Amino acid sequence: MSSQDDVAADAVRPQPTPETGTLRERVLEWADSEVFKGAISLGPILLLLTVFYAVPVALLLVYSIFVEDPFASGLTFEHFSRFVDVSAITSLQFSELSYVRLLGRSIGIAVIVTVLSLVISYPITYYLGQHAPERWKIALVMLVIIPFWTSYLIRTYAWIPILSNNGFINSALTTVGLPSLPLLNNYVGSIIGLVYVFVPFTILPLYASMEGLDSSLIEAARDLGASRWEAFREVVFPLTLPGALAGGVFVFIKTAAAYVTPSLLGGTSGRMYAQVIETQFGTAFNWNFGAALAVILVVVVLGTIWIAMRWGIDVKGSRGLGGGGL
Amino acid sequence: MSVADSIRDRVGSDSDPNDGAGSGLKLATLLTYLFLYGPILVVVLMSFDAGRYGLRWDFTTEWYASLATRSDLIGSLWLSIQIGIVVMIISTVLAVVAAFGLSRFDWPKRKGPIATYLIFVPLTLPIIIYGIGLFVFFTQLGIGRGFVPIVVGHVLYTLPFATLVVGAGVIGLDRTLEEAAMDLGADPLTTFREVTLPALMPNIVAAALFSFTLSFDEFLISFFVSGSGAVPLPVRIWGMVRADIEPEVYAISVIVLLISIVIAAMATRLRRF
Repeated sequence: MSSQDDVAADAVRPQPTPETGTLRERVLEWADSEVFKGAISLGPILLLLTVFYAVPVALLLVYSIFVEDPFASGLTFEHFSRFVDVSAITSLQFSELSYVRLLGRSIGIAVIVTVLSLVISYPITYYLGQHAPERWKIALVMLVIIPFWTSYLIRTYAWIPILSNNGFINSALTTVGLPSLPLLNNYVGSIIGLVYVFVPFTILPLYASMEGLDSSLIEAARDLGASRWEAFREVVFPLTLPGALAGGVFVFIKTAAAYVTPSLLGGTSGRMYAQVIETQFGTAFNWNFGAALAVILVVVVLGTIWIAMRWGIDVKGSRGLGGGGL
Repeated sequence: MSVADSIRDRVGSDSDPNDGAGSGLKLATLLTYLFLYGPILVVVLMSFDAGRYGLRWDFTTEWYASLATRSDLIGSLWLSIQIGIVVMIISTVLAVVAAFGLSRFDWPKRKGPIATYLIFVPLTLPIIIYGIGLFVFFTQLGIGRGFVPIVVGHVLYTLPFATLVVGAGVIGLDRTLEEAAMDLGADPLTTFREVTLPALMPNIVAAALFSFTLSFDEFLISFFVSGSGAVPLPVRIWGMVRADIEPEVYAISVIVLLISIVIAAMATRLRRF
């Protein structure tokens, strides 16, 4: 709300006159005030968010800086230094930096998945936003949204019979006499699965941009002699890039923290960072170190959002589009 | 390119509504739909396949028949439906309150955006972080794993989505209707019940449906806070696909997909774009 609106609202709102009102009137007036109504309607929810969201997440931060049980043992930085492994750096044995490398691989996979998602999103959204026949448009857009709202777990493991050594793709390849490809239980499997699960995060905001694009701009470019490709490159692409980037940021942070897809499709070479966090809680029972690894992941995610916002990317532009998020 | 084509090209889109939608673009669009639905189709095909893997396909319904004997799967399906309904009710009520709180009141400067941001933080942080945090939180409280932690986690997970859907309706609401009701003598409560609520109903129902399906399909939070006594269906499916995939998984998955698709289709139609 702009400050002018505030001034106008203040002018319209009856000002309290405490010296003339009885206590009852004052209470009624206060109960009718915007701040009170706001506190009543948002207070319980903010309390809920604090107790059941902020506290659990903050608890991980607390765990990460104690040796063992929080407040019962000493403060320490050992869990973070175990992640960085200072001894490996000082002895220049960078190959020993397993956790850093794993985080690096996750970020690398996230970059690849983000780029692939954007590449896949452009043609379909360009078609839906600019060329789809009006009467089919709603149905076609709904067809994009619906998989988004179905179980990502099922949609991920569905790739196992497609990608495995005796799966659909390799059976088809060997039938026509081609060698089979290692697609499952490596990083290729992780990347395919992640693009598949997260591509709606780029399709939906990009579609919104494409639909909002004034088609007369494209016509003007075409009339001035631009080819279809030139019109896309010079007009459509720059004007829809903000929508694409908003979705891209979400794909990036969701992929960097992916657990389900690499666990099911990634094998060893597709192993990602979130999996070692889970290991600390599931089998290694080192909650403090796991918490430290989780804090590092949160820093990466928040850092990405911060950088994106500094670059002027409207991150909030895609916030409402999350279906079954990972 | 023929002369006619080049003329059409020069004249522009007035003479040809499909100008620009080249066959390459249409093909790419078609392939993307194939990419989106191929794996879903594979699950359906596998659920009716007597063999395992490969291109040979023999029709059977035996996996669906054997589902009836799998009390573990049926129990988990029923548990997931129960959790979904409880989460749906709590989340939708909270979303209506939050949506009004966020969009109806003149907040002192800065506090409004902060409240909005707080409600949407759960959309930003990775779900795995929240799942682990909730697991540590309930363990510390001595509650451990089970139904209540799952419901709490799912409510917090679905609330931002539900709030967005209801909030879109509140913002789009025609306030003159409410003012008219008040002018005609209705008190605020009657106005809310008779005018505001019916006008918002499509959004509220959509929010409820979205909350249900999000909870029903949610895996990661449940994974960390569900115990052996109460295993929701996605966690059960996870256990089955981590080992060698049993064919019944495909059959129960088709049922899960059908439930989600029907609900999502209904909710998407109700929601105002």
